[in-house]
Amino acid sequence: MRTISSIEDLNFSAAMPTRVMVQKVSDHALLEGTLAGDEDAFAELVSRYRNQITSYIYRMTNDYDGAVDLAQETFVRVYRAAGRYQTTHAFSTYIYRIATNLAISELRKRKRRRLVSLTGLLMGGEGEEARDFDAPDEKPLQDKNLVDTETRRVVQKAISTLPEKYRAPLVLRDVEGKSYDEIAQILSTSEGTVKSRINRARNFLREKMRNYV
Amino acid sequence: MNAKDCRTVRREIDTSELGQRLSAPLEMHLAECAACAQFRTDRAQLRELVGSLKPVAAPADFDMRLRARIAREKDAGARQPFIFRFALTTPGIAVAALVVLAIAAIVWINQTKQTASTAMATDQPINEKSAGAPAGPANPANTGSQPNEGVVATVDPPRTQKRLNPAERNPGKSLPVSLNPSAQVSEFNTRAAESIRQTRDRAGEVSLTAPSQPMVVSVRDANGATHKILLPPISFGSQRFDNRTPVGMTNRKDW
Repeated sequence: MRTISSIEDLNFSAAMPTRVMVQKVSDHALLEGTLAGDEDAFAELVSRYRNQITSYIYRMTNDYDGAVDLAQETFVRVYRAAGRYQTTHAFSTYIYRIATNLAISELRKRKRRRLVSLTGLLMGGEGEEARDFDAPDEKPLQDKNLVDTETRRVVQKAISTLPEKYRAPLVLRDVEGKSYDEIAQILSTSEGTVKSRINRARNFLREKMRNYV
Repeated sequence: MNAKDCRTVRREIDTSELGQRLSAPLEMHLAECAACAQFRTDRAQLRELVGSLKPVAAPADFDMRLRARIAREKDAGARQPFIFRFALTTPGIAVAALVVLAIAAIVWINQTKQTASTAMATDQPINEKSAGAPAGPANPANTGSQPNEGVVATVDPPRTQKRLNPAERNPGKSLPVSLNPSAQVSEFNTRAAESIRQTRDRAGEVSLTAPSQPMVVSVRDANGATHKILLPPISFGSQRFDNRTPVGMTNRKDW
């Protein structure tokens, strides 16, 4: 009879369940599931990207409610066009491209509305964007939180005054942290163009925020 | 240290990751070039500022609203008749464009055919004329050179029609006319129309002759039987052709 000298001698491995390898399902597989009518697969896709897409569109449009609406529209389009999706690109590139197109068309709509709306000059909120970037108050703020909040507000506002062709690459690069290659794919342009636009966007931004930088 | 080096270094700084260590030659350049070092500091500050923007989260009811939206779209799509759903798709638009093109092609082909048949018809009298038809006063412009002809306007019938003599044109009598079926149709597109001549003493006045009594036309058929057709008198009404001569219906049948 075998004597047990330590607890390790007890062989529980046969009785214990094997370690469950939780493998993350790829976006492509989820989209295929969506196409096959699996609602849970689509729900998983939504949960993966809803915050990223909402945040990205918000940075582009500077309007939270509008950004949520456009993010939903992005997912509706993904759902509708699931059959036409080509697996040659990453799904994240695909969904960001849809979101970018929606955000840019929203910005253009706003620009047109501003052209025809005289009352927009007097309005706050969305109408406030019609005004040119206003110089910040140079009085020092003592509270650090207030300073940070104010700085972020200024940065967001400065971004929202950038031309849309500079805004999208800058947000994708410096806020979303995408690589140049990814940005080029999302914007359907060359990497050189992306680099050049980001450089110009930073120069614009630096001019607008020279009191902060 | 030249401007080209500075440009290269700045491009590298711009494309590098935030906080990434640059290559040794670039670091050497930065140690020597104050402007490029300042550029690096500015860029790093700016990127930190932009990167400090906190990500925004989607609202809690995002999924629910999305599901509702998709369900609503599905319902709306299912409720719409197939033709409306189809019309909004790319194949639908393509089919509509094809239908429009087909209709346009049919209309164009029909018009082309009609033009061709008209051209063939207008060619016919030219051929007849060249075949030796008598050169009558077909053109009203030619009538100006013959001012001394009859007081009452004479009507030149189409060349194929039988020309009536004055006795036959007498309104009080019945006129036995032998009708040639082939001569009944006068197409003025293919033959010259009658010319109406004006007289000197009644310049500006056009006289048209019409019987005041019913005209009887006798027609003989193939069996030799005679049929009489009673034609009521024709009235053109009262018309004023110019301002100089007052015109009205008279017994002389001149207006």
